[in-house]
Amino acid sequence: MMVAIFSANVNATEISSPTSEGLARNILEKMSSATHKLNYDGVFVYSRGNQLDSMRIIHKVGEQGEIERLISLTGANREVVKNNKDVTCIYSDNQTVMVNKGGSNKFLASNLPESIARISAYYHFRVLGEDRVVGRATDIIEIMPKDDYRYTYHFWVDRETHLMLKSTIVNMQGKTLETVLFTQIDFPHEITNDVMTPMNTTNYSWHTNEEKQNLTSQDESQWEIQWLPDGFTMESTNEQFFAEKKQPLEHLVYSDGLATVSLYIEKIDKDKQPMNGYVSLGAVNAYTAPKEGFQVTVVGELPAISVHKIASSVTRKSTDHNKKVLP
Amino acid sequence: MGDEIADSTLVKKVQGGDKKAFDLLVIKYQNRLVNLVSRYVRDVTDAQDIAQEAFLKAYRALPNFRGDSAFYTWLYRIAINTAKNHVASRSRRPQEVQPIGPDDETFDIDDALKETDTPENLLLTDEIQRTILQAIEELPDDLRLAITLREVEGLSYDEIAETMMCPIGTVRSRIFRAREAIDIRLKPLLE
Amino acid sequence: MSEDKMERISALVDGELGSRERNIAIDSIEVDPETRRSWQRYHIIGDTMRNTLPASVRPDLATKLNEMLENEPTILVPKLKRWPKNKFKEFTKPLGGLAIAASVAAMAMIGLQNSEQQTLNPEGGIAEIAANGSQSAPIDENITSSPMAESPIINVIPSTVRTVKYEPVKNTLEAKRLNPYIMNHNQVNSRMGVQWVSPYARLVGHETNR
Repeated sequence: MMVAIFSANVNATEISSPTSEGLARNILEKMSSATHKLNYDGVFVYSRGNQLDSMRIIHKVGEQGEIERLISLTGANREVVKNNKDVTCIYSDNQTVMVNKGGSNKFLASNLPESIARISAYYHFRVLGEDRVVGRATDIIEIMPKDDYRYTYHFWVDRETHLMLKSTIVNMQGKTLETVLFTQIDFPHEITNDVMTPMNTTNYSWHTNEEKQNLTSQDESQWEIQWLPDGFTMESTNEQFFAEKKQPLEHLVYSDGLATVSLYIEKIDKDKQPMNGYVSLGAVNAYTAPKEGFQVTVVGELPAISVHKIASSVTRKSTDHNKKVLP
Repeated sequence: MGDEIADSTLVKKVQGGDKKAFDLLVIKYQNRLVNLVSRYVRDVTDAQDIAQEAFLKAYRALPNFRGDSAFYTWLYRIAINTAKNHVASRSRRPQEVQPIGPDDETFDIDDALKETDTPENLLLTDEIQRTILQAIEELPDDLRLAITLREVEGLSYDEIAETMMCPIGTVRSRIFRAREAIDIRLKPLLE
Repeated sequence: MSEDKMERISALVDGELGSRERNIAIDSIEVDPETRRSWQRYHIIGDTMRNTLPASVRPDLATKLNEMLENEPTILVPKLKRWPKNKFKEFTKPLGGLAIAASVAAMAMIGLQNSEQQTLNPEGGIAEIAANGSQSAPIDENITSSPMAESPIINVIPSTVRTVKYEPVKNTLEAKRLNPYIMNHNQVNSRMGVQWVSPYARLVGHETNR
């Protein structure tokens, strides 16, 4: 095996040694806490393949909890405003506002140290070294899966505030699939309200979307997934309408604490041709195929093999199962 | 990777006097290279010509290529360099056409090839892609997965065999049959 | 055309032939124009799947080049150089843990940088770069100054691991139809907060790509 020459701080033999792992974990916990507890205002670029976009993120912590505003700086003018109650998306290109209600608080898993512990069962943590991002000293943390069915994440965590300033998602062959890189970051003591005011939405059409969670567990679905990488558990299931569909889709979301994968199942519209194929966009892979008259689609931040394997493992439960779901 | 071992075999053959081996390399990389160059120049014909020039430069520099990097990486750098030079020189060049004659020292590839570059020489990628993707759609699952893992995910036969839990011989055969099935539709477009 | 022969060509495209079969396959392409055309079409298939086809394809580019090469001197390099043995062995399987880090670092040593950062002089300069690349330079010297390549360890794109340049397979027939699912997934993901800004970024970019 070749001898690795790293920068001064990391010894090649320290891989996943107790100290490196522990240190990495510690930094990650601080990182997830910082995301929620600090005021910050920054600009980052997002890159995957040939695509490069940038956004501004402003995060404010106040009496009502956290408020976050994301503004697209490239392409059409779009914004997302997030608070404890809902998520509002504003699209200037087609003058619409979409409000998603529904207790997003429940899902802010990264807030808790438990989530890091959860991830540690299926990923190795390691401190890789140090680096400078946007002029600040950072520690590079690596989160590498224990199996071949997931991606590796790298986080450059600011030494001073523990905010993540750069991240990459890398596949098993070492190819970088996506990069998030901050090019400006500020930690204002106070963030005024006008900075948080979204763009003018006069004359925009508003749509509100309440997610109905009428399935509380996979037991109630008439479908089951036989295979998922270790550690993936169901986060939510619900019924959704989107993309002008006449029938609702069943939507199940699974996560291992770091990567998420969605399963969509719908009856195949007789007027339409069933879909069959793959799409790959950076770290997101999707695979769809018909199964017994239903369209099964899997989308997630997992390699194509995983997404394919998950989709292939979806089976219908035996017909005498009592169900109150989709026809 | 197996890919590079094949490339190195070809390069060694060229270095040993076999010009035809270079042809195989050109065919293998021409589309990727033109695609790459297209990012630097707008004109489709220019991109083709620059790619051709890059291949020629690569051939001439091949005696100095020692295999310390992958052949494509090396070729890629030559192509970018050639494209950048082309862009730079274009902006300085006056608009009138320079006469090319036997006394002219500089061999200008652009001008030499312009006469043969009629639109019929170029096939629209759209149609080719549509045909191929449609054919892939219609492949049986196991063939489609095998060729996707190979061409898109870049896995080796070994890795695909592990993933699909079948012998390597089956992988080789599936990928071949996938290509054959697609080729039936593709061949008429190119002949 | 014999099945066996074509299957061998297919395996040659993938670089999965032993040296004996490899030489046979190469010879068959050199000798038979029909086989040569198949070699070409097989590569077009791969380029299509990886979305690396240019806007228009010129089927006779290679042929034209052959004509130009006729005027070029034949190369004869004495067989003194040996290709480094087993150099690629480490990269043939998905690696885990130390092995990945070691090979990524090793490739940085060999100088396989994200090549867009380097400019070279043609011809004469190339040999120099190749020579420099083979020396064991400590990682720090390979740091380039572009903002995206700040970390020499992580951002070394190991292009020798997969010479196939990965491009998203965007224009499959299903890409359009799968858009709403991908968008929905990213939306749900963004509310979950685990990946922080990435799902939003995917959403923003995704839409502008349509």
